[in-house]
Amino acid sequence: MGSKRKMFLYGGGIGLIGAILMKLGNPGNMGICIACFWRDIAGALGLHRAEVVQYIRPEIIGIIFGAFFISYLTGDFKSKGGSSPLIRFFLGFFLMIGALVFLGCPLRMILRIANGDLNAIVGLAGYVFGIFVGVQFLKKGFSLGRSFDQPKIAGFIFPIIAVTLLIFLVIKPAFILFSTEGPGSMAAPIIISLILGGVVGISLQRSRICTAGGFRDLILIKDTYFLWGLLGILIVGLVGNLVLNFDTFKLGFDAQPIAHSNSLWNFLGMTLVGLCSVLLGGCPIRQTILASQGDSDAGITVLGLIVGAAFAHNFGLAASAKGVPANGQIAVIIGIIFVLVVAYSIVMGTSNKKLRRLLNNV
Amino acid sequence: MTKKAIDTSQENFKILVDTKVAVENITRFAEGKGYKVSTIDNEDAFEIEIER
Repeated sequence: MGSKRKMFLYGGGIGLIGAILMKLGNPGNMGICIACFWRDIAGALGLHRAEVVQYIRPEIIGIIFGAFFISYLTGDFKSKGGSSPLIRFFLGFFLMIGALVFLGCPLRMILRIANGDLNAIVGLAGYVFGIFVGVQFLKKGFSLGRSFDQPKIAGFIFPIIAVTLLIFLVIKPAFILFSTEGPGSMAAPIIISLILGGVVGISLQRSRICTAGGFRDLILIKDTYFLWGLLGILIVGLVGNLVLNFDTFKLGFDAQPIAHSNSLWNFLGMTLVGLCSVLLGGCPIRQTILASQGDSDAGITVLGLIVGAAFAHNFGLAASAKGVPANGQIAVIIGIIFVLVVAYSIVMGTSNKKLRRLLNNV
Repeated sequence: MTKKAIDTSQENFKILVDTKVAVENITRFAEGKGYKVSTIDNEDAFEIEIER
């Protein structure tokens, strides 16, 4: 129980920070959202031109710094990579499409539930379903292959990107775009976002909390260890919202901030996210943490997220409070098919190899 | 991850994994099931030995 309680406290800290950041000015139910924040960064860099979602989110920079420094101190930092980079890139790409059709990464999904948004419960059902399907592939031997040691400098690239983003954020050069209206213009003060992001990065790195891992372990090995972390985010986030953001707390489906109530696409969007996350071995937030501690494969995945976000807005795939555009619906279906085909062919490939080895031995 | 599914049937055996996270996951899982787990950190991989 001791370690589960620790997990709960780690998660609780993140839930509380989510509520605080929302109180201090972040968009509705978006205290922290990894998908939205990478999307805002993609916008700030001009990779997409959706003018309402462009901002270099200091929380992301803080998370990267926090995870990098703590992993460096504890010896978890290791420059690794080389495990199916292109597949990871596209899993990240489609993960982001699914997240932007639902409007949030799995972390925001929990934070949305914690502020009364029942659409997010539909999303959660889709997410767990996606993980369930992904676990079936894991059971059949799905693997993206092992990673190898990389030159040490490879592990520093991601933290260097964070430093660069911080410089852009502070000196605001003309080529960096900042929203003047919409969610991208709503933000907590930079310093506080940075520091709280750092705290989130440290607790996520230390605890290894992963929203996909929590449900995966529950389904695969009936283990609730990580689930306690998620429960911590939910419960402390809920209490934090009731105390800090009581005026915005609203239980129901309709008129939730930066959300739509199309249940089918809330479900399917998050199914795609769950499927991609479990095959990648981690949800967007976990990928960001791993990328910060030297994992080049996670770094590639995050680049996939960023490019996915850019495409989602350039091609009109992303949902909005008005609903899910037809393009977005098609993209989710394509994404699900793509991921299933990739997973299926990998599973078939490994079982063929096993068969051949068996025949050779005979 | 997938190796976890396998290790319900056998007795003493070894698992090779490449990341520390996998080591932690498997250790937590196996110890939860009452196995004795010891890990050797090789240069490029971890060797986990699981005993009944």
